[in-house]
Amino acid sequence: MSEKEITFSTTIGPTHPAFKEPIQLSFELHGEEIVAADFVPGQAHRGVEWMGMRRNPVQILYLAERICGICGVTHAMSFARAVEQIAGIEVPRRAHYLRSIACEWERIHSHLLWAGVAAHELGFDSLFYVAWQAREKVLDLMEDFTGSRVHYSTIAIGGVRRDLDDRVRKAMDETLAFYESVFEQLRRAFLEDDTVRLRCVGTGVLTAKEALELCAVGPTARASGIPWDVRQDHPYAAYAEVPVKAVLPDAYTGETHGDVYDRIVVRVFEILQSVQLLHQLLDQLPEGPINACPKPVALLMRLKKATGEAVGMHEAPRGEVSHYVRLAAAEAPLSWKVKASSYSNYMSWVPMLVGEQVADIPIIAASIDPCISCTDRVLVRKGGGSGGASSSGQVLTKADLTRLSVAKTRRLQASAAARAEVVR
Amino acid sequence: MPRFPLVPALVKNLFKRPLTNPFPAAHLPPSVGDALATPGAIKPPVPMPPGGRARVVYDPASCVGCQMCIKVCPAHAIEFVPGQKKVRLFRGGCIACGQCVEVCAKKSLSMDGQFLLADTNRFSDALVAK
Ligand code: SF4
Ligand code: SF4
Repeated sequence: MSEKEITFSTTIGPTHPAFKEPIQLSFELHGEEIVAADFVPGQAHRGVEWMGMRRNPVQILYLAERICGICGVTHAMSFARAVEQIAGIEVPRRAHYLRSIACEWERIHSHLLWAGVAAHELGFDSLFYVAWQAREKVLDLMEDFTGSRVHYSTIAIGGVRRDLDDRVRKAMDETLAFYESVFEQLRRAFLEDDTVRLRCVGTGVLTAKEALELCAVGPTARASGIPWDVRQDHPYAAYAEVPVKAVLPDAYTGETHGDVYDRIVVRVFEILQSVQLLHQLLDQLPEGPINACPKPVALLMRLKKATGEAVGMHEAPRGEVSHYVRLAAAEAPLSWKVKASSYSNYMSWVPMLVGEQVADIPIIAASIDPCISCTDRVLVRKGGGSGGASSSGQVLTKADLTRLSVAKTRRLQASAAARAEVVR
Repeated sequence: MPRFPLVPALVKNLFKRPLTNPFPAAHLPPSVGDALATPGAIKPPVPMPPGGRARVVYDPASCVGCQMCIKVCPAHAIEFVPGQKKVRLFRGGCIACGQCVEVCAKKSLSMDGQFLLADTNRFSDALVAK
């Protein structure tokens, strides 16, 4: 066997300091080089959909919100949009604007969080602190606006729960001015620093073709030059009146490489885009009611009568999120299926990682901004997987185990009988 | 010539006060028990802004037992006490969404901005509102 062919198998995870959430990555290594990569999700399954099947849509809304610990608007927004379509609820214009305002603040906070994590994965902790220091402002603002720093609970079925008063409006203007003043510092620190460039330019490349074939979404797809953005392609909330254009890296660097650096470029400029969108949204904010169904009892009655199915989509900071809901004139929905953005992005890890070095694993894994607990729904892999570390790749039920146990007893009995035969 | 645009900001930061509020204390005290008993040893947390969602307070006197709060609670944190026609709220399971507060027609439920609720027993008096 030539030296070239000898590879080592190794795994990282399910729980590992390099990842903030549990997922297992397995690798075939030739020296430091990654020859093959695979991943095994499913370690953070919480049965949220199962819980949802036992609750009414008003209860599910804030359960859905807690699918993610970073995006406090995303899942509530998608779920509310699906339910509103089924029940034929028309959201008032002001509520649409307030929803978009919450979404854009969330994008700023999520991208800053990601930027900090990425810097930390590079071993550049001072940049991590700078990014998270800037992020603190938006958390404080959202706490003022909605009543909570992360789980805003501001989206309601039919609109939003809290209106924007003068005090919070003033705080928003101040926070926007703050982000405008620090943007240049952040941009230079992330895009011009030699430490970041050395590690990120040309690392973890995802070509446009691969991104399309693997159905990547959000900044991961946009960094490879795919101009997709739900806000642009299927405008919802206030995005029809305040149009959004997908941020592509070539608009800022002149070319698209689809590497980790381009993913940083996209996210950094999306922070600027969100600041600009917020200015427009706040300037154009119309007057009017903020909720089409302010009476909870009437809303519950209406939802109990609703029948039909719908998909609610939303451009989360990590990409498209969709909630499929089916109501059948009952207290609880007949079906509720959540697709988080990272679900679409996981597969792009494989082409990104192959050919890179072990030391690049944390930053490449972090570059798609994976939200692992959001993604883990039910995992069923039929027929065993090819994945290195996954043992059989199957989920065994109690009945399966009993069947296997009985089969083993029979096997042992048969071989014992055969041995007895030989002895005799 | 390598470029490190962050260096000036980092040098400036050396002379600034830390941004973080050192809650509950800047350093681990030699004895946690003594520190808890000494007034002023615990630094207070950053207060919540007005309207912040936190602990739910229940006033059983005004409650009429309509059970609307139970119908909207995502966490199944509220249970009905049939004999008394009142409810019991388990703060350990509450996710502080505030829906019960908004739905209660009798204003028996409210939020008081208190968020330091840690306890070793999830059924302690501090964590069950009744
Ligand atoms: S909604 Fe208010 S009045 Fe009705 S049961 Fe709950 S606490 Fe009591
Ligand atoms: S605040 Fe929300 S989770 Fe807590 S008891 Fe009320 S409805 Fe339930």
